[in-house]
Amino acid sequence: MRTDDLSNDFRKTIVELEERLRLAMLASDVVELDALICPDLLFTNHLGTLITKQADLASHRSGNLKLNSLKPSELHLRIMDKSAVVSVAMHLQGSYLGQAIDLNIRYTRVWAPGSNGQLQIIAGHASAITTNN
Amino acid sequence: MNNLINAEQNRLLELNKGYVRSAQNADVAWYVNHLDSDFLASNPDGNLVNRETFLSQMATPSKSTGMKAVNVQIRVIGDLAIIHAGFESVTANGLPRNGCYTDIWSNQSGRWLCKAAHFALFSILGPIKIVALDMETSSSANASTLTALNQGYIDAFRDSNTEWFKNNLDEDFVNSNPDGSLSARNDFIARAGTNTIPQDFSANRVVVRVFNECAIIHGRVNFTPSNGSRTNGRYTDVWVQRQQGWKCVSAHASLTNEVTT
Repeated sequence: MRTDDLSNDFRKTIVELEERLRLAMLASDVVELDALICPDLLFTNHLGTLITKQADLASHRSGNLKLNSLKPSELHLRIMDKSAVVSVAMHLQGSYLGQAIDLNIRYTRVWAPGSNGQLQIIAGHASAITTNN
Repeated sequence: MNNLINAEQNRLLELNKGYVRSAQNADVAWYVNHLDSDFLASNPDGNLVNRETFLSQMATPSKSTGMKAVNVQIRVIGDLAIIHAGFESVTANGLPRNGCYTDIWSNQSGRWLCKAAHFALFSILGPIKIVALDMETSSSANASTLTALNQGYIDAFRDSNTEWFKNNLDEDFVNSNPDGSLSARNDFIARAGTNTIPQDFSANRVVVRVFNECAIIHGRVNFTPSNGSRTNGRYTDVWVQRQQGWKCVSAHASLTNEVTT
């Protein structure tokens, strides 16, 4: 298999993982999220708070966070040897603790092999999109 | 093995310092040498830019001063490194300008190149440290007093200290609750006496603004309820200087939306 083919396969894998993540977030599927997120996750949310995998899963498990719609756009991938950086804009609609959410968020996520050898998210950063550019 | 990781972390620490220093000094040459060819940057407004656009942005000297990274965490995972950090600076008009960033670095034949950067700024009401923005040059004592009263309010709320509220809430005090309802002074104090508040309930990013005999305090709270889900909120308190001293006449608390993963 040529290097280009390997690279394309890897890209395809990352795109599929991103879609699995999107669906898991929508369904608050904690089992799937647990599989996709590395135990060592460090994620900076759009409020600037650095949170762990445990806190991330807890917000889904408790039902505090309910997402009704997650519409991705502008997906950009940067492939490295065994890892990848994803930048994606996402329109989120739902609620947190009963308060409506309607936000455009830019995510940067890093996928890398976890201790089990599977690709998992090891880091992420989200921030609000305030321009139409 | 640990020594190797520590050595790489030290290299990345220096690179991180170089990144921030070059932003302060508009040192485009530094970025030319350290950004990968397919570098991507997420700007504070959420706009995504490529290397070329980023370089042109960095060529414009910043009006902010005192740029520095804080709480820097560096993780090295093979040929990949991730830097999480807070950011502090001061705007041209002397206001705090803080934020946070996540940078992703790739080791290519022994040379670290920055692959992506995600940078977000907090609003003016979101500095990391407690600050007092005193609008009157003669009232710094008031700002200090109000900063202490703000901490007293937080402590009393956490500890169900009704005596503190009786001493510091104005007779006309009204509280706007997170569910949108209003509580008058006595109702609020009665509730405060029976609330069970997590012991990690604390305030941050507090801004105190003094306007003669009135003051407005904006702040953020964090706490962890029994379900273990870290929760944030915002509050705005209004204080008025009475003959007996500063009294809180109004408070508005709300929970903020948290978005994860």
